[in-house]
Amino acid sequence: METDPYKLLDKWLKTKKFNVIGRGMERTDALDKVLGRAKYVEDYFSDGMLFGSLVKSEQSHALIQHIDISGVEHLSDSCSVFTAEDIPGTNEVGYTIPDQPLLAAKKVRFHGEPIALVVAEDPDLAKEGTELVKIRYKPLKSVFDPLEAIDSKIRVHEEQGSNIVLKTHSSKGNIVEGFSKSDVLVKHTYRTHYQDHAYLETEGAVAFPASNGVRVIGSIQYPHLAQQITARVLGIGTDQVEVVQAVVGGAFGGKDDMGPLLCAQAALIAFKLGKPAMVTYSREDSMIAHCKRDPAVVEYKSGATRDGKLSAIEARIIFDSGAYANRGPFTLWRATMHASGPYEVPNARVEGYLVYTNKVFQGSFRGFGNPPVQFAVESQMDELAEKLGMDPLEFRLKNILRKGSRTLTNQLLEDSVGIGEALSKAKEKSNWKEKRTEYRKASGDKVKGIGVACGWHGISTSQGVPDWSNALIKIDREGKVAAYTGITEIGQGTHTGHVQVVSEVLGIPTDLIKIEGGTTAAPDTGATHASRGMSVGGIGLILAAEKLKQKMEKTAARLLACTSSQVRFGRGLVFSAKSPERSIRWNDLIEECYKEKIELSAEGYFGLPKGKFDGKKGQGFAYPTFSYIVNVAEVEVDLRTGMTKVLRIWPALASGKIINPVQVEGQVEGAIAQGLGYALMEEIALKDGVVLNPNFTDYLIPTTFDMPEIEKPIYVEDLFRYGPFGAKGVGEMSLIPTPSAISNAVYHATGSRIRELPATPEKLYWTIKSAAESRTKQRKEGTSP
Amino acid sequence: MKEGKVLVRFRLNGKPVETFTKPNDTLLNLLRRNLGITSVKRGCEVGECGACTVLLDGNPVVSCLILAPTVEGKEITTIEGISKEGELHPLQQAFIKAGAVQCGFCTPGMILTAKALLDKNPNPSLREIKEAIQGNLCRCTGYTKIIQAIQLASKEIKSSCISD
Amino acid sequence: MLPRFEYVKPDRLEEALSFLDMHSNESRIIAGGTDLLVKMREGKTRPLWVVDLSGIREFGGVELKSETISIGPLATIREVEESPLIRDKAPMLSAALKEFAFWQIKNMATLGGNLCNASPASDLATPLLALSSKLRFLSLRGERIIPIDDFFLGPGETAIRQDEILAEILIPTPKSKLWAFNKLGKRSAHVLSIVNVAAAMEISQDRCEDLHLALGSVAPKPVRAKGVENYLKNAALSDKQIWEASKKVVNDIDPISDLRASAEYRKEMSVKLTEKSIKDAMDRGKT
Repeated sequence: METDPYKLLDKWLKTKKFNVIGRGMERTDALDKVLGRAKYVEDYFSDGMLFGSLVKSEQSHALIQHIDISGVEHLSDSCSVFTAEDIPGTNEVGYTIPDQPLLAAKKVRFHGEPIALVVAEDPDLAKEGTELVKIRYKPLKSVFDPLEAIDSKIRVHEEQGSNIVLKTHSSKGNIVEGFSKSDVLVKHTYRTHYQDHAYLETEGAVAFPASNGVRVIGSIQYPHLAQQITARVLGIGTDQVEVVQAVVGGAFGGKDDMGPLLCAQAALIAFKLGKPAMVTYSREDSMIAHCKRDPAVVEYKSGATRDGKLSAIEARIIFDSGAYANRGPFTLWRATMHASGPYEVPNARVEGYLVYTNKVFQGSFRGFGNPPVQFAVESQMDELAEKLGMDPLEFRLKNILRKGSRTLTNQLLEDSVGIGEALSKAKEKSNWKEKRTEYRKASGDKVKGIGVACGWHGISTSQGVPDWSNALIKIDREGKVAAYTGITEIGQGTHTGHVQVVSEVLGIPTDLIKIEGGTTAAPDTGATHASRGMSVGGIGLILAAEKLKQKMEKTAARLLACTSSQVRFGRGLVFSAKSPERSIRWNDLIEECYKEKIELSAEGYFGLPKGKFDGKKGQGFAYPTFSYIVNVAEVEVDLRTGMTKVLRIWPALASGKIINPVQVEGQVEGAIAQGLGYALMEEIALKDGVVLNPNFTDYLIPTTFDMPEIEKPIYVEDLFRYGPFGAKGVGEMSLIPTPSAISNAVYHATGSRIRELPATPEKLYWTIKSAAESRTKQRKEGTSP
Repeated sequence: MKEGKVLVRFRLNGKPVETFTKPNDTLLNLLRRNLGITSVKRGCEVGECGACTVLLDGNPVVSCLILAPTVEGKEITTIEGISKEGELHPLQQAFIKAGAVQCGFCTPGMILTAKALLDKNPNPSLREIKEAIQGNLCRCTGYTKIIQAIQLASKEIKSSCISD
Repeated sequence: MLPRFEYVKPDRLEEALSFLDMHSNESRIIAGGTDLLVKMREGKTRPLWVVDLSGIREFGGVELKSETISIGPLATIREVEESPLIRDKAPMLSAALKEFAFWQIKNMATLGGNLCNASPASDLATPLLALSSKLRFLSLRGERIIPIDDFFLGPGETAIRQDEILAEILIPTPKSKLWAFNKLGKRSAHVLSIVNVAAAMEISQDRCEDLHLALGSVAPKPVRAKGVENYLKNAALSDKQIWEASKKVVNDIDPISDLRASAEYRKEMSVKLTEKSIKDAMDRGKT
């Protein structure tokens, strides 16, 4: 009987033939969703419920002097107002450092910051009430630009000595030497912007008073975090707070951050007033007040030698944290440690700064700090190749991480590095060479181009931050299997993948298995983020299912008249390896076990082994493994208008074992759409910290006509030794290189490079025009070679 | 009428409905809050996302921009009304089969728009499909599988017509 | 959430006119509702009465009255776009409406509602301007017909009087088959115009006999580009001539910078799309 988790995982890693792993099983939640009966937070609406509506700051930086709620009290007897003063516990919800209140108390730090909740029996009345809350402010000077904020005397958090929340650092080799040996150097500054998650379902939670606390149903990504924060805000124990996930209408990281806050807001009302309470954000509330992808400035210098090898990089990354630290320390850390791209580089120096400003705070968003820095890396790679007179894809192949390579942080990659193969395959499939040559010759109003970009993404939490998998599986007397995991289903399809994992290990049909996920009744499995839901989340399920099989083996052996080690589970039957024609039905075995008083539940736990990281040098073990991605993009640019149309994308993914190819395709296609929006059109318009476009009229996300043809992904199954069947993470991958693949293709088409996203038609038009003008000028002056 | 309650009568998924509404309520709120039809989703409330799409006399409309009293005498169809006798509509089957469902929030509206398309044009081109659903935003799928699902359903409907 | 108001639905035209006569200041007419509900939600208008005209039969439909196309103000965008009569007689309008918002909105929004809302970026005002349309109004005081050129006064402002109802949109059947409609937005579809251009022209022996050019989203109201029109009148249509003419468009427009584009970009795009529209229209004569 094998109990060593490493050996059990290794057994499945080496398995070649599967029943359900690798199949495009239909989603377990699809039926409810096509019937319209899936229950999202707002669908819990019922009479007798209270509704909270958000009062937001009208100042970007000010002291709150007085909050006058008399208008609301006149509106209706049933209306009430909750402010910071009404919080029974601790008004502190900061994720990494305690700098953020649930409701602003003495001071507001960004325009749109939550100050109060107006509560009424009718949601419209609550909304009406928000207009009647009058707040007297004492305005303070604001700082909006992160570069200015570094040295500014204006303090977003006056108790802190500086607006710099955190500095990160990684250095390796000797960059002075590296650069002096370089034959070509490229140095530029890149700017990226806020991106709104724009999930179609806005943030929300509904809370019900329970015997000694509250029960909360939320649009969340981590029930246990929501539980912790809610308990802290209410001043009660976590045992008094139960959190269950509703069906979630899109999350993408945003609800990892916002979910707990909304849970706490709804719970506050329900707990204090003893009635069910719902808080949902309007679209405007959401776009003004919820966290977004960190805007960034990346100053990047890189050098390469004539033979096409990267010799050194130097980068300075400034992340605009907005008013609170939230996830910024983690996104910046990730950006820093990924700042080389998936390439070998002997000499490197990377510095990161997270800086407070008086704007909406940053947060988790698919890619988590990585997209801004990979945009810089991949633009630089193209420019280096051009200076060397090399094909940009061949240049990448010369430097790409391979088995045995060391990363920027000097982490040795012992296995599971499939990006080189992915890149070669993408080159073939996209007909790269021919298109590169053909498109160069094009002329006319519309020109085509093809570009490539790579990406990598550490799976699981960073450095030594503990990461684990945990799951509980129970089998009932009818043979039905319930698997409990804290991992949430947020639309990505992970619970369907989990069913496949359990089905494969127990050898039973998928319809016998139900995933009870996203609840504090399940073991704490960590958050559904960092592309870990399937990869890390699946490990515990394998181990729990293996334990259950072991519990049943003796009984099975007796019934099959064989030894325990000869017992096999498959296709809903249990049989002997010695004489497979002899078998017993799954249900009969379960019944027998019940009779023999064998308890049929088991927990699977696995602590991911992690190495050491030297914070001083920024060197060492960064992540248990990395997933890799290549996107080749083909575009057409209308030179008259600057409008870019992405025609086609060839994705190639090295994410270990593909558990469910249909769901993986869904992740690839969806992430490309978000990356395309980020690259070309999505833009939060801010004036003095005020969001000017809190709606889908002017915050544009891709429609059907903006989307390219997306080729079937190339999969390089570079198995990860601890992943379930070798699986790594997928969800975030395709977003990461999409902006740079598009931008590199635009450069190929037009000869103009965008270094500040998004590349709107207007921005590209001016860039192309000024390039043309300077060429004309050079010709006239005879300075052109 | 001065009391702020307006009687409105219409057909919802083939059945007559008679209910009171606030004059300033939207069809979206009437359906969700008064009639419990929660499949109609609130996404933006300004007619930009299509999540609240319903069919009004067979044509897709966004219910967040329809004043509830104005549906007097009309026929409203929501996702609850498109499966016949418990049998899924070919579009619902195709959405499941093609993997066109992720978070599911856009799904009811998306299927309703697609249904209106196929009712009028059982054999739409790729362009016609894109045009029909361009007002139904989806943030999860990149539309690829949604378009495939509509193509699949179109084939299904045609072949079942031939066999009939 | 919408502000509070009362809802009235007159069944007959006379009823509607007398209601408006009495409550002209506090009323807003609802047609498709796609603009009005957004404005009310944003608190930009707070009427006491919302008057639903959908009960008035004579306000719908598209028909040909001798040589004039008559469109009822409550005809929806989709109805007009798909009308065989419009496709045949005024294909430019049909093409412009194809690019208008998206299907759901087209099934709700009406031509009349869109015109009376007077958005400078309207995608249907420009073709109607280029087609020299006229508008007929009714009130208790009687009837009034004005050219559409005199209708728009500024963003959200029109020549309609408070007691009047837009009763009919009249388009003289275009003589020429040469037309073009071009629209530019920040994304490929379902988007507000940064600039849109409608062109209708007549050519005789490679000379421009007549050109009607209208632009949207580049001035406080949709505008005719008289400078370009006059420049090309009777001119030979060489590439150079068209380019020179197109550059004149900047004198006819007065764009602002907003969330969608800068004034400078709008100017350049007006020139580019004017040139493209003239050429597109000419190309129609070649096939």
